Amino acid sequence: MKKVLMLLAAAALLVSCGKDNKDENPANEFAGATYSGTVSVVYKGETVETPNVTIDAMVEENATTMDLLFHQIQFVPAMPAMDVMVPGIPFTIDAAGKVTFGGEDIIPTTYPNPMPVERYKVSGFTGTIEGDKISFSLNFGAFPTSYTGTETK
Amino acid sequence: MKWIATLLIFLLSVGTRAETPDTEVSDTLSAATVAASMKLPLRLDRLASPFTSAFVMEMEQRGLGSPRALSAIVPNLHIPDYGSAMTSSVYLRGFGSRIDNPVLGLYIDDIPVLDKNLYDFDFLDIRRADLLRGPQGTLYGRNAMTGVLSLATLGPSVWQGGRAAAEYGSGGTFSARASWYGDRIGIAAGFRHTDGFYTNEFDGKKADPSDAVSLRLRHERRLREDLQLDQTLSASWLKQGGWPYRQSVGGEVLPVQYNDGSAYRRISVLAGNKLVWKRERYTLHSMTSLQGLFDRMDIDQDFTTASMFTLTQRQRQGALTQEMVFKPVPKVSWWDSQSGVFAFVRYNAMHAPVRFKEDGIRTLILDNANAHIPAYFGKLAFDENEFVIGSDFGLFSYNAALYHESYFTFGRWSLTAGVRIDHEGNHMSYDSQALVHYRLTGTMSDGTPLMPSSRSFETVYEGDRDLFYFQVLPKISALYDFGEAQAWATVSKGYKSGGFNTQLFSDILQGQMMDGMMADMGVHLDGAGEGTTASKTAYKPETSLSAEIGGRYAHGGVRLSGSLFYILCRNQQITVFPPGKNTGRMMANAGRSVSYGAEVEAAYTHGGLSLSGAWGYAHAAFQDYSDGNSDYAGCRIPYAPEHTLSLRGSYRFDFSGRRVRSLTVGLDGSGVGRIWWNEDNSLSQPFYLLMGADVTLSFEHFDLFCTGANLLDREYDTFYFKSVGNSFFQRGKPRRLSAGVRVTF
Repeated sequence: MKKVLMLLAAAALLVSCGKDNKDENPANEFAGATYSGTVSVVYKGETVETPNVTIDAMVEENATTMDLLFHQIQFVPAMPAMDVMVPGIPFTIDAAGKVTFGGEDIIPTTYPNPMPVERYKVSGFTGTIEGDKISFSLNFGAFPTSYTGTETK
Repeated sequence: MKWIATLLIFLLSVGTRAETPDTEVSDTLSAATVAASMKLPLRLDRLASPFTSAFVMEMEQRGLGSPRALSAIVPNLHIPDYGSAMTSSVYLRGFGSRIDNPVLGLYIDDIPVLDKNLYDFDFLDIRRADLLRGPQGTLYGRNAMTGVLSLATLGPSVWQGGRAAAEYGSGGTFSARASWYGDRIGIAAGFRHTDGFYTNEFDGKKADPSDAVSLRLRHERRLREDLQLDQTLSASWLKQGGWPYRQSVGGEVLPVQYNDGSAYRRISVLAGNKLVWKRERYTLHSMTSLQGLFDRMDIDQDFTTASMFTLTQRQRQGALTQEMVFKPVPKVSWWDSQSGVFAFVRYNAMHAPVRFKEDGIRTLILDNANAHIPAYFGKLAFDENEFVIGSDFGLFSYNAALYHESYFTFGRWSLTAGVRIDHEGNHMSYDSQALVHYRLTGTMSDGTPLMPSSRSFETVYEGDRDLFYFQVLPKISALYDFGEAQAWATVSKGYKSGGFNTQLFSDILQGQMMDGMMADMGVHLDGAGEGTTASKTAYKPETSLSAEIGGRYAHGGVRLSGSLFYILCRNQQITVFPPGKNTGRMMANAGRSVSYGAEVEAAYTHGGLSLSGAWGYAHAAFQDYSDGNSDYAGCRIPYAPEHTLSLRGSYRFDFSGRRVRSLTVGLDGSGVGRIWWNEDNSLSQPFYLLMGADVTLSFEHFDLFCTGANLLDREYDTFYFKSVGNSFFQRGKPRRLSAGVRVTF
C-alpha cells in the first residue's frame, strides 16, 4: 500500500509538473517578430493592395498579449502613410507552435507618440502565426483590412 | 583687440636699425607712375588687357570714395548700391554673383582681399586704382575671373606731408579724414557718418544710418641696400543699418517697412608685410598678410511688418596669405619672366541662427503641416511663440598655387605666355539644431485631449563635407606696338572659387524637423526625407575662358582705347531660391553661359579742358540653364547690366593770384541698364543716366569743393529679389549734395 501511495504521489508530482509546463507563458515560445507582406484594404467597395508593408509583432516577457505595429499603412489612398499600433492583442499558442490572436474593440494609437485613434477602432480581429507566416483580418474602423506576410530575417 | 596692438608693435619694430629710405617720388598725387601691383611686370599701357586707372586727385574731386564708386568710370563694371556693406556684389562683363565669391579679385597694396564682405569700404588715401578687365587668373588666381582691382595707398616713399578733409552733405552725411606721411611712417584715419536716405515706415526711423572709422599705418624703409620693407596695417570699424527693400504688391511698390531691427557690424584688420629683395641676378618679392574679419549681420529676413523670421550671421574669420614672386634679371633682351607661389589658409567660425517668430511659425511651418495632418488629430501647435534654428559652421579653406609668365619682345611684337596651377580645398563642419514643444489639438469623443501634454522634439543635423579642386589657368597674348598706338589680342582663363551654401542649412533643418515631427506623430508625408541634404550644399568653381582683341591710341591730349571680348563661362554660379516657401537662398552651378561685348574709353585734355567717356556693352546670356522647372537657355543673366556709360567734362580755370590757384567745374553722367532682375527676364530696369557735378576752388594750401550726385533726382531700382514668395525692390539713392574742404600741408 505504501508503495502504491508513493507511486500515486510520484504520478501526481509528474502530473503536477506536467501541468506547470503546460501553463507556462507561451511568450516563452513566441517572443515577437517582424513581418513584411501585403495589406489589403476594402475602400469604397474595392480592394486596395499595398505591398511591402512591415509589421512588428511585439511581445513583452511573460505577457499574454502582443502589440502589432503597422509601419506606414494607408487605409485610404489619399491619406498620408501612418505608423499605427494595435496594443494588447490576446494570443495563445498551441503545442505545434501556432499562434492564434484576435480581439474586439481595441483602440489603436499612433506611434511612437501614442495618441488614441478612435476612428480606426479595431473589430473582428482574428489572425494566426504559423512558422514564419502571419495572416490576419480586422476592421480598422470602417475599413475591412487583411494582411499576409512573411517573417523577415 | 590686444593682439592687434601686439601685431602693431611687432610690425613697427621690425628693422629698427635700418637705414633711412630714399624718397624716390615726392609728389605723385595726381598721376603716379609707380606700379600698383608687384605682379605687373610691364607698364600698364603695354599690357594686352584693357584697364582703367584712377588717381587720388581725380577720385577725390569726383567723389569716388569706394570701390563701388568705380562703377561710374569703368566700362562694364557694376557694383550696385543695395542692402548693406556686406552685400557688395560685383558685376563685370556680364558676370557676377550676389553672394559668396566675387568675380573680381581685389588687392590692396598687394594684399589679396579674400572675403567679399570686405569689398565695400571707404577709400582712405588710395593713391591709385587700376582695374584690369578680362580674366587675370594666371597672375592673380582665384576670383580674378573677369578682372582684378589693384589699389595702392599713399605711403612715405611716394609722398610726404599731411592731408586732411571734411565734408558734409545730404542725408546728414559727415565725413572727415586726416593723414600724415613722414620719412618712414604714414598714418591715416577717417570717419564717416550718415543718417541714412531711406525711412522705415514701420517705426519712422531711418533704415540705413551708418558710422564707419578707418585707420591705416604704413611703414616703409630700406633695411639694406638691396632689401626694401613695406608694412601696412589697416583696421576699420563699421556699424550700419540697411536693406531698405520695398515690397511690390500688384504692381504697387510699398514703402520700406519692416519690424525687426536690421544692422550690420564689421571690424576688419588687414596687416601686410612686403619685402623686396633686389639682387644682382633677380628680384624677389614677398608679401605676407594677416586678415581678420569679425562681423555680424541681423536682418528681418521677410522685410515686412509681419513677425516671420530673422537671421543673424556672425563670423569670426582669420586668414594668413603668403606670396613670393621671383623675377630674374633678363639675360637676353627678348625674354623676361616672373614666377610665383601663393598660398593661404583661412578659418571662419560662423554662427548663423534663424529665429522663427509667431507669423513665420504659423505661415511657414504650421499651415504647411496642418494641410497634411488628418483632421481627426486637430491642428498642430507649438508652445513657443518663437524658436531658433541654430547653425554653427567651421569653415576651413586653403589654396596653393604656382604660376609663371614669360614675356617675349621681338621688334614691335610683345608676346606673353603663362600658366597657373591652382589648388583649393574647403572643409565645412556643420551643426544645426532646433528644439520645439508641439501638441495636437484634437480630442476624443468624450472630450479627452489626444495629447494631454506637449511633447518636446529636438532635431539635430551635424556632420562635415569636403570640396577639393584643381584649376589650370593659362594665358597667351600678343601686342603690336605702332608707336602711338598698340593693338593686342589675349586668350586667358579665370575662375571663381567654389564653396558651400551655408545659408541652406536652416531650410534643411526646417525640413528635417517637420519630417521628424510628423514621423513622431506616426505620419509620413509624401516626399518626406527627400529634401535637400548637406551633400547638395557644395557648389563647384565657376570658370571663364576669354578671347579678346583691342587697341589703344595716345597722342598729345588724346587717349583712346577699345576692346571686343567673348567669354565662355562654365559651371556658372547663380543664386537661386529653392522652390516653395523656403527661407534661404542657395548658390547653384547653373550651367553654361556666354558673354560678348565691347568697351570703349576716350579722353581728351587741352589746357584746362578735360573730356572723357567710357561705354561698355555686354550681352550675357545663359546657353544651358534649367532649374528643374523652367529652361532659361537664351535668357539674359540677371543683375548684370547690358550697358554702362560714363561721361565727364570739366574745365579748370587757372588764376595767377597768390591765394586762389584754380577753379574746376565738372559735369558727369553715369548710366546703367538694362538690368534683368530674374532668370526668365520678365522684370528689368531700363537704362538710366544719373547726372553729377562738382566744383573745386583751389587755394594754395586747401581746396573748397562741392559735389552733387543724381542731380535730376532720377528714380530707379538698384535691386530686386523674391523672398517667401514676395517681390522686393530697392530704389536708388535720391539727389545728394555735399560740400567740404581739403587741406594739404
